[in-house]
Amino acid sequence: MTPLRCFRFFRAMLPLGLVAFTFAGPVAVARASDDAAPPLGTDDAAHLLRRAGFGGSPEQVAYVASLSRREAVDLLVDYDAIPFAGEPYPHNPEDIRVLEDKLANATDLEDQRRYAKVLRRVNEVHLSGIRRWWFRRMVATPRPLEERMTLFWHGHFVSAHPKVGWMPLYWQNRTLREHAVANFRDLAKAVSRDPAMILYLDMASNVVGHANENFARELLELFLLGPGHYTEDDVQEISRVFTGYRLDDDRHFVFDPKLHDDGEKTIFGKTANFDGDALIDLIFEQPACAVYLARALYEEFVLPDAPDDRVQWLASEIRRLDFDVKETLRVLLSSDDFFADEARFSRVRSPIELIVGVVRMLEVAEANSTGLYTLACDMGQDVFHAPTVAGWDGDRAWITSQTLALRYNFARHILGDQDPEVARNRQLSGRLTRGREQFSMMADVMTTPSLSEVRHNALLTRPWDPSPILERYSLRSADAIVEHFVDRLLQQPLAEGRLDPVMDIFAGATSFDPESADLKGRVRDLVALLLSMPESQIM
Amino acid sequence: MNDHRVTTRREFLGRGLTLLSTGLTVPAFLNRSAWALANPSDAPLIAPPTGRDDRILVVIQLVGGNDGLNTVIPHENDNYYKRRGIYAIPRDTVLPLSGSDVALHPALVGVRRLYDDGLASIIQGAGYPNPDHSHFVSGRVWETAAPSLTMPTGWLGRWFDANDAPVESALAVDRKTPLLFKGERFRGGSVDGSPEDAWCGSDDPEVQEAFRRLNSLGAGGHELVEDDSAASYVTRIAMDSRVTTAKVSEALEKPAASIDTSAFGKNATKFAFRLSTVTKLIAAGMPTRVYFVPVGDFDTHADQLPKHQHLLQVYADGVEAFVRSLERLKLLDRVTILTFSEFGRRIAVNSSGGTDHGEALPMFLFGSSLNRGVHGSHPDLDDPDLDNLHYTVDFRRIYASILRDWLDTDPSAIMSSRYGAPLDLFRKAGSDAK
Repeated sequence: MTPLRCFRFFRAMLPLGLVAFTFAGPVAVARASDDAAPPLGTDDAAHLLRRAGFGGSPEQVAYVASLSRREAVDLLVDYDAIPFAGEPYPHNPEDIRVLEDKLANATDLEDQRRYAKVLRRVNEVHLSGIRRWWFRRMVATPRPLEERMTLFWHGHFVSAHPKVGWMPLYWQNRTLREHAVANFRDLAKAVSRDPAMILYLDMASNVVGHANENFARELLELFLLGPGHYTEDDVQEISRVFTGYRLDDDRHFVFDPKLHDDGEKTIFGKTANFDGDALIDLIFEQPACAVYLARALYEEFVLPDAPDDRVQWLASEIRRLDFDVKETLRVLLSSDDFFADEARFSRVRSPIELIVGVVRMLEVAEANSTGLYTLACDMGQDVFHAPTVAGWDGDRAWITSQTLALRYNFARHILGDQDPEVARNRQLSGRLTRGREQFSMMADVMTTPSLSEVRHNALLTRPWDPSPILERYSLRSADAIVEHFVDRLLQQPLAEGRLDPVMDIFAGATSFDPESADLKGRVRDLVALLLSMPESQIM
Repeated sequence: MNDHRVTTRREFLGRGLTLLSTGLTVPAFLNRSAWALANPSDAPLIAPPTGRDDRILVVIQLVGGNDGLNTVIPHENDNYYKRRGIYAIPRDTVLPLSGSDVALHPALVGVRRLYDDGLASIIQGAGYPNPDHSHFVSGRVWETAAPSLTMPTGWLGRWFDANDAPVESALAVDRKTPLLFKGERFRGGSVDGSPEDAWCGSDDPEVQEAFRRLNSLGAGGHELVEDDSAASYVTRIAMDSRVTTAKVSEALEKPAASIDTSAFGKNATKFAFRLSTVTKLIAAGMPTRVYFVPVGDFDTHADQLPKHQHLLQVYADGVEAFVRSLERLKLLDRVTILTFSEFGRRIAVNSSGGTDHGEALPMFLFGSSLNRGVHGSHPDLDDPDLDNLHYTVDFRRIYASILRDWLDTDPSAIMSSRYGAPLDLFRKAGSDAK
């Protein structure tokens, strides 16, 4: 079955109301696969879906498990073959322009204040809008690797609010998605001309005679080579190369030769009148470039602490593939490194991996995307607002005493059966509103979510209903239910006796009828507990 | 006291309370939180000794790299005005510091008041040889006290390791614990100002009990703490945070913690709010020895003048309110406050009206036991070929003074000694006050 037919098949199978967010085919299809290419198996399939996607439901895992390693990786990597409408963020640039013109032309002070206030409010609404839009996309996409890579580049080529407005950030998001698995060299060049980047790293202030080194330094230190592989002179000369890069009145990229330093520059020992693209090509010739990308990808997909020899191996593959990211991912995701025992469950789930993963794995139909975004923010992953140009620290840094408490508690918001007022008085609301009431958001510019209010409505419009799952799998006993949800949510073997505390939940169950309110409540308690174990926080 | 060493986990779990009387050394494989949770009545044994040893250090980081040149200003040096041009702080607005040839940025009026009352010291030109200009690398140098970048642990982390300290001994009032606190074993905790309540996954006490069991040593949980896997890491944090959370909540609920926070302002900045939280915790008798409070973002690559002014104001107002509150509560004698940043900034201003990453910078100390005044010498501004301010004192000499004179520790146990002698930043006992 081609990916396209799989997608259509599954869509047809879905009960009404569920978002078509998967690409898997029918349950447990026995495929006539090539004898030389054995089926992947459940554990490997679940691992691949976790790392290259946002995790898989039992059906998806079963389908991928029946494919060979090669077919499974191709399914995820060749995501262009899977159609996905993925609407653009709905907005009318004209509206903003009209307001900005009005503000620019207003002579009366009162008018100025009024337009400024409206413009500010409109921009806040849209910033929130693009965040929600991206979360909806991540939850709904049948091409999860596409969103994963967009998020990866988002944390690599950082540009952030409030220095950059929402519109250039939205354009940048589209550019990153377009180049998500394209050639890394092309992506780097696109980034050098990206309006959000130009704003974020002060590139327009970098003009002939007056260098601003911000972009040049981060290009070398954070984007392409890593510390220690260039000199301060290289930084200064590279800033000269990018002089003249700026934005026009519509905030689109424009190159202004009058502001460009047109002389010869000496970089990495080579002298020439490099332009931006030629300079990027020169950086790519440095041995450290492939190594830097290799380490970043290896640590993202395989192990947080990549061994040097394996990084060197991947770097040589990257050079062989001339920095084609799609083919590099194909190699990396098919490798024995990727499927090795030590790679499994070696990383802490990022807030987005946790939230989006759980929403997808519980087959939640409509989650309040504002709520999802708020939670990710509180857990430390505020999209479009990375704390520094170095992005997010990631892995174990996601876990602190506060974030762990939030992470353990977020499941209850997904399950949605709590009275919002009751929830309000509890930890999440209480802690945050007490804290936030006591300081003014405008006062200092530390790296925290720039929310003006914290909303703790249940994330769902109605409580999560486990009955479709209970029925589909005919789960009629405590053992069956626990085993199913452990497989669904934790996907890992547990020590003897580890689940004893959980078994008692069903001790007083009056009925195992899937529609029984008592049973549904117990299943929700079970899910809340499973998602409050250390094993649920890793992948 | 006998020093009974436990050799196996089975032995330890088997003997339980009987080991107390023999002066147990907590085994390395079992962190102290796990023990605290399993043996709550042993808690007093784990608390650090009180008395002269309950001195507290509050470390404030100006995150992003502070422009020291416009902070502690060489206002008598014409080269300052020449080289900074319109970005220099006007001569008639700076706040001269008595007994020195430098002045403070006008936004630091709160600091000047503390200085005049003998509660502040400034150390000029702090830095290290062959400085790095990256936030990440230079930050590491300051936090590990190792310019060679060979130490994976923070200088205070090493101090806590040596003292086998419980997790709540260091608290970051931030989302995460800094490298500063990380030892081989020690990690420290983080709080962001309000108490954490219990797990809100369920009202049902049986389900609550199941949660506790799933996150503690029993029920196969003990397998999880012993190695370096991701699962073990999460489990250790879960246990540590239950201990820290419990202690912070307990402290903040004590009557002693209901202090008057009006000094911090009605619409307090986040920084001031964090310092007010620290004040409450100290007043309530938290056994924490080191607090970490970041403030930022000082990375002023563009449009520096208004941004820097605002940041310095936030900093000074917060610190002044903090010191005065401690003074009123008669707690100031136990507290020293250190301020550092990961680097200073360039002498020249760039084309966006900001400054790029630089080198040496001034450090601040606040407390009632200091050798007050301005220490060290201002970095050279006269050499026209110099782009950066070169350090005149290795920052490790300041750390060494804190370790030796405030924390009663031999600095060579924590840092290599090739940086010079510790500065004399604290008054010796019996010497004259102000």
